[in-house]
Formats: sequence, structure tokens, C-alpha cells
Amino acid sequence: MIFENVLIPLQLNESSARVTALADAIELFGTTNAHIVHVSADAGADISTARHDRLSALSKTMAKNGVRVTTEVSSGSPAVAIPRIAREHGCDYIAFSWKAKSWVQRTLVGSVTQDVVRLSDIPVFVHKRPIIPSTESYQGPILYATDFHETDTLAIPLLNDAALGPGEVVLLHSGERAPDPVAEGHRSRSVEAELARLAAGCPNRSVKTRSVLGSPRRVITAQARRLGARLVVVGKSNNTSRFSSMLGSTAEAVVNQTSMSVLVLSPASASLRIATQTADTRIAT
Amino acid sequence: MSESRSTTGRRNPVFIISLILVITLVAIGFVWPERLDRWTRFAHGAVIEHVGFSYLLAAFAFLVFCVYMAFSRYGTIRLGNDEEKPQYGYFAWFSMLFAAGMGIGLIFWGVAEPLTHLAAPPEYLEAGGGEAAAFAMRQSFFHWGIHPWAIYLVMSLSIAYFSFRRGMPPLISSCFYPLIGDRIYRWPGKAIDILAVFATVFGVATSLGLGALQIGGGLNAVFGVAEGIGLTLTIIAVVTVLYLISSMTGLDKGIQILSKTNVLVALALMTFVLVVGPTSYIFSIFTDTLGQYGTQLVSLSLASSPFEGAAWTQDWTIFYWAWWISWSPFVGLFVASISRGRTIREFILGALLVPAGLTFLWFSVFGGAGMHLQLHRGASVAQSALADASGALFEVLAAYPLASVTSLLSIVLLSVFFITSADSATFVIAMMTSRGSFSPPAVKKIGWGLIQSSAAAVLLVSGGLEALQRMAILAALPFMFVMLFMMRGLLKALRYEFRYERPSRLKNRI
Repeated sequence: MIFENVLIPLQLNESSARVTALADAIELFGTTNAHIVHVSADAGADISTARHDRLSALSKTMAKNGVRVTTEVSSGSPAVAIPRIAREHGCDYIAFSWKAKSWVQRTLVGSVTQDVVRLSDIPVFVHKRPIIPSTESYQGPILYATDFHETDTLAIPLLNDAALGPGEVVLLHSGERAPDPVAEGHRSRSVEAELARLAAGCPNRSVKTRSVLGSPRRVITAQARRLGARLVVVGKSNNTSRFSSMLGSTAEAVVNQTSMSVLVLSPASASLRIATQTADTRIAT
Repeated sequence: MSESRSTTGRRNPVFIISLILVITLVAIGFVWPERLDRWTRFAHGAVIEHVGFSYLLAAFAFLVFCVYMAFSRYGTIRLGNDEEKPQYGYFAWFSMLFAAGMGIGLIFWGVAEPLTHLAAPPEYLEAGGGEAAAFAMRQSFFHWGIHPWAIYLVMSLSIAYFSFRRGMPPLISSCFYPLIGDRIYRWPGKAIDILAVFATVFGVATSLGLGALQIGGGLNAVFGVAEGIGLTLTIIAVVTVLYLISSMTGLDKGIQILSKTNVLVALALMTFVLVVGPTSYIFSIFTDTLGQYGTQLVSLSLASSPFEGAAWTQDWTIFYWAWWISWSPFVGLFVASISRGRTIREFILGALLVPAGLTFLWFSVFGGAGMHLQLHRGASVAQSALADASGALFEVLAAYPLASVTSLLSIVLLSVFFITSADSATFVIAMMTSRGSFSPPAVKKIGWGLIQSSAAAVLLVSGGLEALQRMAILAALPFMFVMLFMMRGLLKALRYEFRYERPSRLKNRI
């Protein structure tokens, strides 16, 4: 499984309901081991008895679906410590329970989730709404925004997995218009061909493809809203310009601006998966 | 698309709407010159006063953009295919650049502008003093230096890139493909092209009218021919016939030969005045003003003078910037059409530095000669220039040897620059109204040539010429935004080319 081990950072002020919803969500990814971490900004890893009790209670909530849970208390800057701990424990991804913040709060106080999305080399899942809603009439799609890079190797098997619930998958590519009509025709045909190739990798699903012109950060959030997506999967790019870095990456913008759960895939973990698959194939032969 | 089909109005709305618009406004200028004058004076005054600062910001942005393009990785891109060689040699290219972009204006203002600033500087300077003289030279360099070329280059670089490298028609609307896609073929694109034709026709018509007045002044000074509307109309008629003949012979012959000849004549005249005039004084002015211009470039570029000298800045700097912007569709398209095969770096550095360098020399020689007469020989040429700018050159030439020969040479120079400007404008307007064809139909060139000259003549008679000039300047306001978006479109296109189309980056990426 590609999402077997998860690191779950908790601030310990999360409600039990939020943690339960997060536990339900990670189960869909086939997760069996959860390492819960509380990172305190204060020096030293000691916390009060009350907070310790809270950590135990939330761990039990997390374990209700049969997931094996371990806990850890650490100190330091959460944005730096969380990716480090995930790496040390060999976690496949990091899962956050999202607490909405206003633009002013995000600007002044910052957001640990946003920082971890930027700093982490492994996928980050941000839970906002249930991926499989309780109402059966709701049939929103899973939206995967692709730029045809390494993250496709992580995303396509996941999207094809029936565990993520019924409903269709929408493969979305957004890009800039080419400088002239001939080049644009070529670009458009190439994008359609790439999307069709990815769609062929999801035989268990009904797949729709979309190619939309415009800035990815605007297009992905607008399309997710328009389609009523229940999960947005987005790849993180290594090729971010300096100007884009100042504005934040597309993945950070999607995490901030959409109201649905978001899974951010990273190219590093995708490369690792490609390397592992290649090694497995060599051993098998 | 065949040429004959392009001339039909239904299929070529740019042509038919531009034609109707131009004829309607000229008719208004003829029938109600006072009303047109009143309306345009109000609108022009409001624009210059309230959004004048935006011209300063935009012109500076254009300059920064040009410098960035020249020295960034995009500088290596060729305006054409990768293997293409420049269509014209350096001398022909520089001559045509100079003739289209500055020529006639430089002859007109080379003496008059420094002397006018000397006689009527902003209120914080003493008229006729040393500081006013330094200010006059510095501002003349500034108004005619690299900023006008930066404005032209934003336009011409975009057009050259999209037409020669991307295979699109050489139209201003083509530059908007990365931003608005196929809408360039519908009304947004047509509106941009119509605005460009409008600004070009009126800009050239007013220049024709004012240029004819100056030639008339020169003929009066040299031959004693009585000035009057009859003489001016005759000059317009003769010049029209000459530039239509030149226009018929095409870029490779007419404009190129005339431009080269004229630049040689101009250099000869400039060298003569430099030798017989106060040579070391002129070089001293050149050196000093160049230093001031170089060190104060940024502060000059953004000097909106909110505390003192605001009216002066509005009357001169902001007027010039608006004027250059209104001329940019014409000069931009023309410069693009002669620059195929050059790299972006070569194109920008060549067009930015060489004409500006020649302009600085010209102002130093003619302005310096005028300053010397005014400040050291007791002549009152500055007051004369203030009263009648068109006669200033002849008055200064009269103070040096062989005045009749140099004045006659100046009239020839003026007339030929006049012809090359009108010739290239006719070619550009015909091109813009023929869906960007590099070989517009002859009938269209003759038609637009006659319309331009008729507009100039009719409005000279009725007195509506200045109103028309103000309208051309008003067109600069929307055009300033058009040009800002052009920069955005060009950057997007170049970024796309580097990211997706360069061979090293072609690895199955889209």
C-alpha cells in the first residue's frame, strides 16, 4: 500500500468529532499505522497531565477503526519538526484536520498546515469535509489536477481504488495558452492525448477529462467549487518560479481556498515510488 | 484571404469603420472647428492634468521592460526563424528607424526646444540664466532620448515577435493572442486595430499640417516667398504626390533610399554647423548634458513635479509621452517591418541607443549653436523660438556662414523626412487595414495617403488641426493600457517558448 503509515499532528484542541472524521478518512487510503504527534513550541517535550490525557483520549478515537496508533510529544517549530518526524518514522504521508482561518489570521499568525505543505517531501492530506458524505444522494467527483509530472504515478492507482467511494473522477489540466493559434492547437491536442492516457489508467472508474486555460491556482479552485468535488488531489511542482514562490505554491493556494478535503502529492515521493517499482520489477525478473 | 476580399467592408470591419470614423471626425473639424476645439481642449486638459502621472509611470515601465528584455535570457531570441539573417544592413536599418521615429520632429525642435526652455523654464528657474540653460539641454535630451524609443520598442518588439516568429499577421491585435485567444479575431481585437488606425491617421495628418507650415516658413526665410494658406496647401499637394510615388515603390526602394540619403544629408549639415559653430562649446554641452542625463535618468523619468513646475511638466514631458504613445502604432509597426531577423537584444540595444545617440548629438549641435548665440553673442533667438518655433532653425542658421545653402538644405531635409514619415505611415495604415498584409493593395495606399493629406489641408483651412492633434493624444490614453497589456502578452509568450518549446525542454512536456 502506498498510504500505509501516516503521521497525524494534533494541537490537542481538536474536537473528538474532527478526529473521528479524520480517522474515517485515512481508513479510505488503506492506512494501518498512525503515529500521532503533538509538537509544542515550548522548549522541552514535557506537557501537562491534562494535555497528556487529551492526547491519550484522541489516540483512542483514532484507533477505533483498527488502526495501530503510537504517540509522541516533541518540541520545536511545528512546521520543521513535523516533516522531520514523518521522515524518521518512515511515514507515507501526513494528515491534518483542518481548522479554517481567516485571511488576516493566516497572514499574521501563519498556518502550520500551509508551511508543512510547502516543506514536506511526502504527501500531505488536509481533511476538511468527509470524502464519502453520509448522504447517498451526494455524488460529487474526485478532482485530480495534473500537470503530467511524476505525481501521476501516485495519483492514478489511488484514484482507481474503489475504497475512495463511488462516483466519477475528473482529470483536470490547466495551463497557459500557447503564443499563437498553431502552437495552441498543438498544445491542446497534446493535453487531450495525455489526459486520455491517464484516464486509461483508471479502468475501475468513470473518468471525465477537462482542459482549462488559465492560472492553475485559479482554475483548480474554481473547478473544484463548480463540480462540487468531494476530494481534490493536486501535485506539488518542483519548478516554481521565484515570483510564484513569493505568492505561495499552487498546492498551498488550493489548500487555503477550497472548502473540500485536499491531498497534496509531492514529486519526491512519486520518484521514490517509481524507483521502488523499478527495483521490484528487476528482482522479479 | 485575397486582397480583393479584404477591401470589402463586411469582411474587413477595421478598414470600413476606421474610414467612417476618420471622415466623420474630419467633417466635424471642418464644419464645427470651434466646437471640436472646445471639446478636445476640455478632454485633453482633463487627461493631462488628472492622469498625467500615469504616462510617466508607463514610459518608465516601458524602458525597464526594454532593458530587461535586452539583458535577460529572452535577448537571444531571433525575431524570425532561428537561422534567419537581418533583412536590412545596419546603415539602412538605422536610417529608416531614425527617419520614421524622429526625423521631422528633430529638425523642427532641434533648435526650438532648448531655446524655448531657456526662454520659458518652470517658475523656479530664472529665464535665460545658466541653470535654465542646463535644464533646457537636459530636458531636450530627456524628451528625445531613450524613452520615446522604449515606447516604440514595446510596440514593435511585440509585433515583430508575433508576426515573424509566431507566423501571425503583423497587427497590434495579434500581440494579444496569449491573453485573449481567438477573441483577437472578434470585436476586442478589431477595436484595438481601429484605435491604432485612428491614432496613426490623426497623428500623421497633424504632423503633415504642422510640417507644411514649417516648410512654408523656411521658404519664406530663404526665398522670401509670401507665407499663406495658398503656399501651405501647395506644399501639402507637392509632398503628397512625392510620398505617394515613394510609397508605390515599396520599402526596399523608396523609403530605404530616401532615408539613407536624408541621414547622410543630416549628418553633413550637423557636421557643418559643428565645424563653423562654437565647436568646443558644443562638445562641452554634449558632455555635460550626457552626464546629467545619465545620472538623473530615474529621477527625470518619474518627475511629476507635484510641488513646483507641475504646469511645465504637463505642457512638455507629459505631452511628449502622450504624443510618442499615440505615434507608437505607426512607428512600432514600421520598425517591426524592417527588423526581421534580428535578435531581441540586438533589436533593443540598436534601436534604443543608436538613434538616441544621434539625437543627443543633434540637440547638442543645433541647440548648442542657438544657446551660444543667445548667451554669448547677444542674439535674441530664444525669444524668437518662443514666439515661432518653426522659424528658430532658420534664424540660427542665418547667423553662420553659407546660411542660404544650409537653410535650403534644411528645407530639403525637412521635406524628405516629411515624405519618409508620410510614406511609412501610409504603408502602415494600408497594412493595418488589409489584415496585416506586408503587400497592401496600391489602391489602399493611395486612398489613405489622400485621406491623410486632405484631412491636414481641410483642417488647416478650417483651423481644426490642433483639435485633431489633441484627439491623437487622447487616443494615447487607451493605447497606454494596450501597451501595458502587450508587455504582459509578450512575456507570457516568451516564457511559454522557453518553458515548452526550447529543444532542451522538449522532453515530452506540454
